[in-house]
Amino acid sequence: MDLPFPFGLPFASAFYEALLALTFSMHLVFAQLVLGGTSWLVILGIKNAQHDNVARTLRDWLPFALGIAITLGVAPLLFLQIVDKQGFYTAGLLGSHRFMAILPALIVGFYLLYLQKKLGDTAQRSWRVLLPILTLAAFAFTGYSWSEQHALAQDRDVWVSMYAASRMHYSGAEVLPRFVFFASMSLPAVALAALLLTREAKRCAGVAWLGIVGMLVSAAWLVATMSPTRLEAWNGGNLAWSIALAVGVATAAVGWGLVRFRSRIRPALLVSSWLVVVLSIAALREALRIASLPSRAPAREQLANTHEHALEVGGFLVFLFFALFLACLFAWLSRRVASELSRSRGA
Amino acid sequence: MQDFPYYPVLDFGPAMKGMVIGGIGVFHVFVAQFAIGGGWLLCLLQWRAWKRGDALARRFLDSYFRVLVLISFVVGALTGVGMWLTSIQVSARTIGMMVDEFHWIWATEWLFFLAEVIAGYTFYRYAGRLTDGTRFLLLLVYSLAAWGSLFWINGILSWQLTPGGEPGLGSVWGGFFNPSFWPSLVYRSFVSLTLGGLAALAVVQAMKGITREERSHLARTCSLVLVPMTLMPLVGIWYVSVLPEDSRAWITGGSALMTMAFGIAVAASSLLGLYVVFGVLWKKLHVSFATATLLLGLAFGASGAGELVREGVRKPYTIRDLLYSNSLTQDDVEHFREHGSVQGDPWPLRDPAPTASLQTGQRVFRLQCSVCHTLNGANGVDHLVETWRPDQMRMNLASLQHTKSFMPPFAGTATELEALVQFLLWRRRGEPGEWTDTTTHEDLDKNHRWLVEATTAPQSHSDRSTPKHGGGR
Ligand code: HEC
Ligand code: HEM
Repeated sequence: MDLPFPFGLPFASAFYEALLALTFSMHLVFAQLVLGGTSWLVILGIKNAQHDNVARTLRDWLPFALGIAITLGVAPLLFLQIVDKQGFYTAGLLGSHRFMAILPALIVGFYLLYLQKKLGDTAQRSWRVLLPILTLAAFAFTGYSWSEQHALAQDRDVWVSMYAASRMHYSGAEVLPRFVFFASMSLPAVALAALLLTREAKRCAGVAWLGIVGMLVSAAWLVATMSPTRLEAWNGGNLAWSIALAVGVATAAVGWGLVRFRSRIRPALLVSSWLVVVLSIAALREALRIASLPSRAPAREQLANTHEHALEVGGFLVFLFFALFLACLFAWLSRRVASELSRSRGA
Repeated sequence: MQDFPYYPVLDFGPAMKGMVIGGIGVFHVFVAQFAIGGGWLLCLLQWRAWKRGDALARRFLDSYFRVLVLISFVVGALTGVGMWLTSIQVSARTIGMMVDEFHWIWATEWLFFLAEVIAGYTFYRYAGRLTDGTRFLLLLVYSLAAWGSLFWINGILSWQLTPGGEPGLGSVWGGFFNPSFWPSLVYRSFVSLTLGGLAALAVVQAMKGITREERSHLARTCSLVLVPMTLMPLVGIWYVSVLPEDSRAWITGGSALMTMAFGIAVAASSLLGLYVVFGVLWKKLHVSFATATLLLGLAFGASGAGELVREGVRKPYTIRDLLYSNSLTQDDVEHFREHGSVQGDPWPLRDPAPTASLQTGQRVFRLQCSVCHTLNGANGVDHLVETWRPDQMRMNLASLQHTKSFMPPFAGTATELEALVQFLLWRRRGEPGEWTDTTTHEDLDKNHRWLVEATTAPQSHSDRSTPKHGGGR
């Protein structure tokens, strides 16, 4: 039996793969808060929920979540270029303008979020429906484009024909179910954040369950679209991550059940089960990517050499130093800010 | 030799790829530097609010900060990602090499950017309820982090132009603190302060509900950060003095475009500096909203021209001495001279010419020339060779690096060179559907001889002034 990701790989490759999976997980959490939060705002707009605590909280925090999602997206972008240059660059070149359209879309999305925060409850009914729908369109387009790009980077067989036909759009069978999966997953994510901020137990649990059901359905759909070779990547060591994923989802479902029917909020249980879900998805996603890399021995060797070389260049210690330094600085700053805030609330 | 990484080459039509990245790049640099300079100005204002009880400074600060956050956080970050994605479009291999070499520097830069965003948002959200000391601290962290990310990225970007040290990869710090590191850091820092100050002047004029006195008081405070701008000519000289000699030649007449851009950058920054010293600080002129915006436009022009120069003077390299603009290394050039450059290229032609040998020429053009030339648009080769006789073409293309020193050496066999010549002749004839190759053995021999004469060495500065193309145009 193969070792679970990333342990079966040579050290350098495992190191960068693990970093990619970790930083991607961080990006995913915030990207999903944005995607899920905007979807929820659409529902609330349609339901005409005014002076709504959840809506207000979402509008208040979403611009920040977007800023962080974008910033955290840069880190996996960096490691991706060490792990699989050929796939990422080729997909980026083939997708070209079509892919880069995510940038104007995100700028528009950001200003629409900000506008909704400014208008708050004073916005007219029609705007409270229309603005979230437009915003969701921008973010859904972005998320979909990443799924498209990711799947294209691995579908090496279509590259040449896509280039020959000057096609920028890739519509492989995996793209849509992938995106629906991540979109479904965004609901439990935002439900968890909203629960911690608003304590609106029942509504949050409802949204979370909706998302979990969506995840199960779209995961089945995704598996159904996969070729036998892709499915093989699930065998062996990746079984461990598949089991972790199943356990994480089941625990999350139970946790939300407690919230819904027993009115018992167990933040530690909910958060940790969710972390397991996110990490195991990131790991499985990488395991599938590795399985798609060219299987010719020289190509594999060349890739391993690239990772090896990357590991040799300097700068890691400086990075580590600043990571620790900044972490301490912000820990201290946030305590200071928190204590002043509580004092000002008291005054 | 490792497998050569063939990436699909896109055709952006007559707009050259360089212009695409240039456009986004200038905009990104402008926004990012504005965020840095703006941060320092905010520190100054908060200091005054704190230590001198300047309530006006505090009021202004809060409205200016909003502008800064709204523009810089998301637009700044996204245009940065945009730069990255467009760099991939222009030369994936360049960015790949830079990532391999400097990913920990980049990762450190990213930490700083994250710190900037978090400190900024905390201020944005809670500043109203914090003490002056904490407000100052947050702004200081914000500004240091913003400037820090400039510090890190500056090392990588200046490395492309002056890698310094041993040619080759592997010594991060030697490469990072390369010869143009310090002058370009100082240059960019000053530009940042100027942009932050000018934008503040515009905001001061747009602010409502303050008296004329208050307005000019604020304007004077904001113009303090413009003072370093007056040292710009000196920094310019410093920067130019560390450039490699051949890069320097670009901006001192070697290329009309580069010389002009450099002239614009120098003239616009001197004008700005003069206006600040004499107008704003000495004569205490009133800076209207229109003037402030105009000045900002001037600064945009100057920094745009500066970036253009920075990109342009690297030719024929994207990473000096390591990678040519067409993504070939010196090793590749030598290898391809022996073995040919396009037979391993897996990407089909989108619009293939009728014969196999013409297609080879088409592929050679795509691989080696299309990053700088179109066929019949901007810098179009059809036009450039319009009047050349076939032998002139053979000779001038064989010694590409001597024909114009912005160009890398030709990286193919005598047969590939001939195919390129035939392809260009075929186009000159109006792309007939049938084409009989008239190449003779003598032609190939000539190609071979000229290629050997040209060598594979890049053009060095010393022999730039002696034009080598026989017969000229
Ligand atoms: C690094 C960018 C770059 C690359 C790569 C490049 N060129 Fe050029 N080339 C230039 C520039 C810049 C000029 C100057 C244009 C001008 O004078 O208007 C030029 C000029 C020329 C000229 C006119 C020379 C003269 O003396 O008038 C020809 C012909 C030409 N290039 C052909 C080619 C061919 C063929 C290739 C590919 C084998 C190629 N170039 C690759 C940048 C490049
Ligand atoms: C609201 C905006 C965004 C959303 C909703 C979003 C969502 C997603 C999703 C769902 C994926 C997984 C795709 C898949 O595996 O099928 C993903 C991957 C990724 N995203 Fe984002 N994203 C956003 C913005 C960004 C931005 C701005 C960046 C760049 C800075 C970024 C960088 C990445 C990277 C590098 C990956 C990994 C791609 C890969 O592994 O092939 N994302 N994103």
